Amino acid sequence: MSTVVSPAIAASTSDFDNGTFETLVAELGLEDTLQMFSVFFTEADKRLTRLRELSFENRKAIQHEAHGLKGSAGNFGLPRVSELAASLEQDAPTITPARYQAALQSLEAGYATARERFVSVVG
Amino acid sequence: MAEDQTAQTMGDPGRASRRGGRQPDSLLVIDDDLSICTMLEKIGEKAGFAVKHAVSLEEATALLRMQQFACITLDLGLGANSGVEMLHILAGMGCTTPIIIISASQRSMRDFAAEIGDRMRLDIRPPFGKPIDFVKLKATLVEIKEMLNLQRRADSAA
Repeated sequence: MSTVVSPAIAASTSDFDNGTFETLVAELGLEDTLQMFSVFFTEADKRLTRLRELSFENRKAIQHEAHGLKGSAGNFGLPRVSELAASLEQDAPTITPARYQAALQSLEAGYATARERFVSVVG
Repeated sequence: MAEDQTAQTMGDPGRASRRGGRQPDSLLVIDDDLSICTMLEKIGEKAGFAVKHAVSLEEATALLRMQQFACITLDLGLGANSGVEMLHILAGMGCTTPIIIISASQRSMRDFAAEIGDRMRLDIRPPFGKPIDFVKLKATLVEIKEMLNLQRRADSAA
């Protein structure tokens, strides 16, 4: 299995939701919004590093990190990352080494794409 | 002793003003994700609160022992601990502060936690899921702040 991205997830979600960013700017201002995104990317990087360091047998820790990423990515307008993290959270109790590696690759690829989209939108 | 003091002060928005020098209403954000804490801090500040955050049950308990809060937002996943444990601690402190549960857990889990809080006679407000509806959350916080202002006016009149 090369990827765990289901066609449904790939087709139903976008990498970066401009609408969330615009709502945050409207509610909180550009400066605060950019500061929040900076914190988000730093924290998401840390979560992905921790996930990379975990063995597939650390199921509780994988669930915890995936749950956190699901929530924060959803809040910051990265729906695809949020869904991939939700999928990993759900699979963690029975995940195999191969599926864990594939899930991580999908998550990292989705995150990298979303971050590129954010940079291209925000400048 | 510290818990007793907290129990005496929590949920009494008029107490700070009666002691002299009205303090801004404080919001305590309890969430183990720093990016969510930052987001909730900004929303809370826009709603007129002075905001502090805690990323663990221990940090939150320490803050609650040091000062009173006018409102609390609570995540249900707090690392090794759960938000429900925090509800037990708040109930033990005699907390009457409005509490808003904000969690990426399934709705049934959020509702279940809210029901537990209700049974402990905590002031649990309707829970929020994640992604958070920022506009609705800000409106809820503004509403709580206005309620506190009204309560203060009524206290002064009395």
